[in-house]
Amino acid sequence: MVIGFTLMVLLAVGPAPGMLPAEARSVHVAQVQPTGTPTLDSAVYLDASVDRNDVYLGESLTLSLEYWELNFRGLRVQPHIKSGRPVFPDTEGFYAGQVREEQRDATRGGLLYRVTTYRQELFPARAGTLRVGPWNWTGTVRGHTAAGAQSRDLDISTSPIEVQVRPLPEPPSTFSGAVGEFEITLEFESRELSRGVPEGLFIDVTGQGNPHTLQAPPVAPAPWFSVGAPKEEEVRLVEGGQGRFVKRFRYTFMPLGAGEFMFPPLALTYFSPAEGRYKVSRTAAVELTIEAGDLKDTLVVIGAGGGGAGPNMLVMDEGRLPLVAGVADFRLRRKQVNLGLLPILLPPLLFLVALALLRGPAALRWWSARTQHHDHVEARLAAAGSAARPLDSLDKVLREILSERLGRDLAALSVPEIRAYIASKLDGEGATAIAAVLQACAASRYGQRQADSADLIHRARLALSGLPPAPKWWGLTR
Amino acid sequence: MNALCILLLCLGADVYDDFFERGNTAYAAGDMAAAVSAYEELVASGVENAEVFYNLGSAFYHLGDSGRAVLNYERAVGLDRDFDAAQRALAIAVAATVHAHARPVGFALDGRGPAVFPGLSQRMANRVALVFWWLAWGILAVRFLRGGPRWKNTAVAVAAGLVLVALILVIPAPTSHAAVVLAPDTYARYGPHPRDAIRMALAPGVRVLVDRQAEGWARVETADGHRGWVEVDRIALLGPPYDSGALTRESNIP
Repeated sequence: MVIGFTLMVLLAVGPAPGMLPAEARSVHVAQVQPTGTPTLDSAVYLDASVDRNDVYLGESLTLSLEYWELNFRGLRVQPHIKSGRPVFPDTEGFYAGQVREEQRDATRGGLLYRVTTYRQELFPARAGTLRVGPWNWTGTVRGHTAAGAQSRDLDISTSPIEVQVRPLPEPPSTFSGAVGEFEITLEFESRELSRGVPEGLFIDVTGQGNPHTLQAPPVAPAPWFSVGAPKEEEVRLVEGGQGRFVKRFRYTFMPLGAGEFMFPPLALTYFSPAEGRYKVSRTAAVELTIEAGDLKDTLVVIGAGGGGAGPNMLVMDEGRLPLVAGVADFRLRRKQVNLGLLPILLPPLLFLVALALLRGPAALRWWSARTQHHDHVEARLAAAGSAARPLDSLDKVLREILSERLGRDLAALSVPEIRAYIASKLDGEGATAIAAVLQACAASRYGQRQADSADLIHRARLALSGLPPAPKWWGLTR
Repeated sequence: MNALCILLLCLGADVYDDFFERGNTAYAAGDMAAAVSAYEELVASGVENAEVFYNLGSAFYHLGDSGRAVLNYERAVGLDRDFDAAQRALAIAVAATVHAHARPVGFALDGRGPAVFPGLSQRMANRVALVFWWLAWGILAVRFLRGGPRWKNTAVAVAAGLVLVALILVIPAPTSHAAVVLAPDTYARYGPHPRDAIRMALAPGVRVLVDRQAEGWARVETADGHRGWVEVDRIALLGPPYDSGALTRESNIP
């Protein structure tokens, strides 16, 4: 669809309203004579490219993404995202650096476009074939045509970009992991060094590569000094250095000896993609003069422990390791007492003793609910046998025990009812035997027939022995 | 002599100070052998201070015995993990060994620790397990003697849980002891016999784990996982009784 009139005006493009931070934008003023015919279809273009398609693992490459938007007064482009910035293509497999953004005006097909370029450093994190993109853009373009206002939804994609990533050759043992071109320099915070007085030691690594994978160079220990763990001080870009940066590491340097010393050269082994080999950047050896300082009796406190109170260290001359000057409290090695099983067996033994003392010896028979049940029945039957009216007592005791064991109050039930109930709970023989005893007790009570109480108690004992034990935890009764 | 020293040491802490001071004086004067002797008397009398082992390690370091220097620095670090000076000196001593091998995983005074909590020493794990065991029985006792009905099931469940954790804690990782190679020309062999083939050479100061012993031989494992048998008198265990290792032979090559 052709927009209803041809642009034949001279466009003067100035700085656009500030949506982006000033330092991140670069706006070119251009005077262009557009000759093409603007259409809604030609409102937006995308271009994606990399500066190199064949790199080493960890080597940097630059991804350039160009967003072309037709610069025409009657046209409105509304991307389908809220951030106002295109969603960048997928860069899986790469370590992605910061995005730099700049704008310019350019012509394409005789039309004037506002071009926004996003540049991003990519560092391949694995060897093989990696893919960038595709880069997608969706949005709505609106413009006034001869037929009136028109709009169109656009869905534009770039082709994916393939990058061949070569693995690094077999690295030397000192390889720092850095890929690029680097230089290492060394600087002491102060050249006036005194024994026992900590000073800063700075190591600057300047170069081009991935600053985030650059590890602190190791400092070999020596008896006359100690260095603390390195701290990353800062990473800054070199002005006009086209991606060159300086990464500064800070170490705490503690002179332990006094005199003239030569601080050894430090080395950084890195891989140079340009030359395809490992290279080493070294610092020069630094001559140091360490004063003995004001440390009377050469006693300084170093190496304080986590609690802040470390041992007093006697710093020695002649490159000897420092010494602990004194020990506040000599500790004697405790003899290993082999207690064997005692600590393991003691708690259960104490438990049983406490149980026996507090609950009586019978409580120790907790392991056998059936035994306890038996004792319980025996005691009550014996009590019934020695009662003034043994058969009445036996009847009562039987009903109580049955009530406890079967979980239903049987005190008010008649013998046939009890018989019917226990027959549903117990086997037929046990129910019959218990019912017979209860029947005999009832008959005796109402004078129908006298019975031998000892015999009935014996029969009751036999019948009750088949009852299930009380359903209590661990067989214990409270 | 030893008995006399021990007798003197029994008289009080001043004697310890005297021996320690004697060692320091000898060290400052450059008489490292006398310093070693004084510090070793302290160790032999049962003193177990990181500072003593540190000074002893430094004396050995300046005697050029990097194996014993590493051994004693490791003991100092094992007794006091926050002893920065000992950590630094250990790094220096290790750097002075032939191969500057790393420390094997699980290299500690107390061995490897429990299987499920490798960061914990086995001694500590056993103590915790014992506390849990006593706690479980205490809960059971309270439950049976005083507990209400609702508390019963919870108490038994908690006690069972504690016993379970205690059992897990006392399951040790494969038993191993930390040791340091002391003798030069120490060779680890494929089997515990001088006629067995040599598998690797171990320089003084190499830190190993001992996982098996048999008739004067110990099977050691290095930081990179290689195993071999060495004669026990060529290494010294890190833990008590803190022997410095009496060497009887110069080399174990048959």
